[in-house]
Parts: sequence; C-alpha cells; structure tokens
Amino acid sequence: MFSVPPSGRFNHKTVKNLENFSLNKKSNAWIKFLIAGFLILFLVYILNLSTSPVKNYFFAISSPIQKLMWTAGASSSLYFGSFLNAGSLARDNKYLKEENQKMLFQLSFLQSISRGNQEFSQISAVNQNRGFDVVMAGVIGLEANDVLSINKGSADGIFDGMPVINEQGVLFGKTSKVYKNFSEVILLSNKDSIINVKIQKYQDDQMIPAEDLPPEISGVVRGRGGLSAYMDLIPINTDINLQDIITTSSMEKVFPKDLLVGRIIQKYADDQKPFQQAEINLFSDVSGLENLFVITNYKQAN
Amino acid sequence: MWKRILAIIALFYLFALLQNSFFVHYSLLGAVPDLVFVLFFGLVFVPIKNLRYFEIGGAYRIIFLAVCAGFFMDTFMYPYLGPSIISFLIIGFALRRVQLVLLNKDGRYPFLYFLVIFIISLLGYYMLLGLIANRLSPFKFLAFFPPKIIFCIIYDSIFATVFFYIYNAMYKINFNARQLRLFR
Repeated sequence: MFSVPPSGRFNHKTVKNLENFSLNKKSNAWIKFLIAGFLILFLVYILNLSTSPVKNYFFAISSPIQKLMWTAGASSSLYFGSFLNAGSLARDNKYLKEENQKMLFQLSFLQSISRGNQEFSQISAVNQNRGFDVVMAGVIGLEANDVLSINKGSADGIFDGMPVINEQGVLFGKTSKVYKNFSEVILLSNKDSIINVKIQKYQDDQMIPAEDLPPEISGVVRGRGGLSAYMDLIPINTDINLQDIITTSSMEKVFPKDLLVGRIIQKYADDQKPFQQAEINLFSDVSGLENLFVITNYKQAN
Repeated sequence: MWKRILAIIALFYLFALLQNSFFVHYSLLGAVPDLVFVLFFGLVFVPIKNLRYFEIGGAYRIIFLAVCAGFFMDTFMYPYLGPSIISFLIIGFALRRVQLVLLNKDGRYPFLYFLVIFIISLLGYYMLLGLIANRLSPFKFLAFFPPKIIFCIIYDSIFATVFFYIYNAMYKINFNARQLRLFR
C-alpha cells in the first residue's frame, strides 16, 4: 500500500496516503481509548449494582487476616509506644491516681445518696438498663472518614442505626451499612456525626451535691474527622470547665442516655455569638481496641 | 508476565489490608498512610524503557493499575465502588502526560520531582474523590480531604520515599534521562 517509488522520492499521492495513515492511527488510538473508558464505566456501574455481595465476600475472606493485623498493630504500637512515651508515663500515673481517688470519693457519695433514695435509684436503674441485648463484635479495620469495620452483620441480628459501645459503657457510634457478615460503624468523630449530649459538672475535684446541681448543660458533639470531635451549641451564658465529662442526653433518640462520650479540654467563647464551642477528647479510642458491643434492642425498648 | 500481574494484584490487596487494619494503630495525629496510593503512584511513575504514552503497553498498564488499586481502595476504605477507580485513572494518565512534558535527555534531582509530583497527585486524588463520590458537586470537592492534611502528606511522603529508593535499588533505573533541567 505504501510502496516507495524507484526514484526514492514520494509523490503527492504517497504523501497524502502517509498523512491519512498517520491520522487513522491516531483516531484508532482515540477510538480504543474511548472504548476502554466506556468499558471501565460499565464495569464501575456493574460493581456498584453488586456492592453488598462484593464487599461482603472480600471482608468475609479477609476477616481472619484483618483481625490478625489489627491485633498485631495494636500490640506492637503499645510496645513501641511505651518507649516513645516513657517521659509521660510518670505524669499519666499521677493523674490516674488522682482520678481514682476522685472516683472513690464519688462512689461513697453516691452510695449515701442511694441509701437515702433507694427506691428512686432502683427505678432509674431499671429504666436505664431495660434489659438491653448486646452482640459482641470484633473490630477488624478502620476505613476512611472514621468508619470502623466489625465482623458481625445482619446474620447476627445487627441492623442499621444500632448503638455501639465498649464494655465500660463508652459510646463509639452507631451501625451504618450492615452486610451479611460484617458491618460498618460510624464513629462519633465522623464528619457526618452529630449527637445530643449533656455536661456532667465537677467543682474543685468533687462531685457537686444533688441539691446544688445546676441545670443540665446541653449541647451537641460534632465529628471533625481524624478521630477528633468538638462540642457545639453550648449556650453562651453557661459556665463550662475543663475536664467536665460529656455524656449522652435524654434528648438523643438513637443512643441511650448517660453513655460516656468524652471530656472537655479547651473552650472557645465569643460574646458576639449565641453559642460557645469546646474542644473535646473522646473516650472512644480505637487504638488497642479489640471488641465492641452492639445494642440490638434499644430502639424497640424506646 | 502473568506472574507479574498476579504479584501486583496481591501487593495491592496486602497494602489495602495493612492500611485498613495495621497502620491504623500507627496514625500520625489521625493521619493513616495511603499505602495503596503510594504503590499505585510508584508503579505508574517508574519509567518503562522505550515505552511511549500511546503504546498499548503504556495505556493499558495504567488502566490495569488504576482498576486494581481503585477496586481494593474502594472495597476496604470507602462505601461505594468506583470513585477511586475513576480517580486513579485520571491521576495515572495525567501523570504520564506530565512525565512526557518533562521528558528531557539530561536532568538532575529526580527524587525531588518524584516527591513534588507525588504530593500534587495526592492532593488531586483527594479532590477527585470528593467530586466523584458526591456526584460532581463543586461544593464537596474537599469532602474527602483529611482534616490534618499536612500530616497525611508527610506520612505518605515517607512511604513514597521508601518505595522510591527500594525500587531504584532493586531495578537500578536511571531517572536522569527523563527529568527537566531546571537547575543549571
């Protein structure tokens, strides 16, 4: 088709043929490129139609390896962390001793209250407990946007929107996407997470007696991402202190009340705004976390 | 060739698991390394001798790497399948185009170019992810930006540096022939 003339020179027709060949080659490349692009978009569409079984399959086969890696990461980070944080160990130890003493004082104070209001306490306890059923789930991974993966799903009685806590009653978040054998938990630090909370007041390292308790200070905790969160919509005329404990409030419909959320570490108040904000330290720490508990019947009881 | 393909798929799978489960406990102020992105970027960036952009081996290689990396990234890190695949495709082809533009016979400081292009690609990836995952809403392009982006960049750059020097040592690739001479 493109034979070279005996004279070695290309005539006009040959040059034109060469140009057309070059254009055809480029347009062929673009056609292949467009076909490949279309096939990829089609593949993405098919994948999205079958997201649940695909993800469930991969998580099911990866769960043992993920669990192993999660445990290895937790234990090795604790080991290396002890070397890096040696300087702060003494400080943390002192702080924990003081906290322990404070808790012992509060325990004795609460015991005296409960002796005086035993019937009232029993009713409160029953209402609080309500016979919650929990399903223990192992933590296997942390996805982007502060979403935790656990190795239990709809086959274990877990559904969307169930509260997730640890054994100390610290709130971690709620279940979002639930597959057959695993589930995703939206943590409190997720950017889309907003929960109603209240502040437990302390004064001079002692718990305030019941008759002197100020009205409940309510607000919301919003996730910021990166495993951090802050408290917002705190009325400007209320007095909050550093180290105040934050718990879920009775206004919260998804989560039971009085679950531990975090502690205030910094506050921001602007007189020109109707609300103040506070930086908080969440109690829900994922490092070293092995298991969580999903409350499966809170909504039904509520 | 099939061994190499299977090895790459296994590597992406392993890195996705490590990113999702192991390195969570080694977060730097909330930042977890994007190992899948580091591996994808490194495998695309490394030049293949005598392989031009529109050659079948070049474009199809990028498609294969993008689909592989994006699939594992979406499976283990994001709620939907697809945004990472499309983002990696765009990043991969853009990267190869940038490399062609920078093509020169002489050059210096190859690691510096690698690092700068890596950081720009990483930022571009997060922006594309936010746009694609939120149906191209222009107000949501920062939705997938980590809150402490600078620590994310630093952490990922460390792993990218390690990959760069390991790959360089293993295959003794000469990067000098493909870098622009900016510093004379």
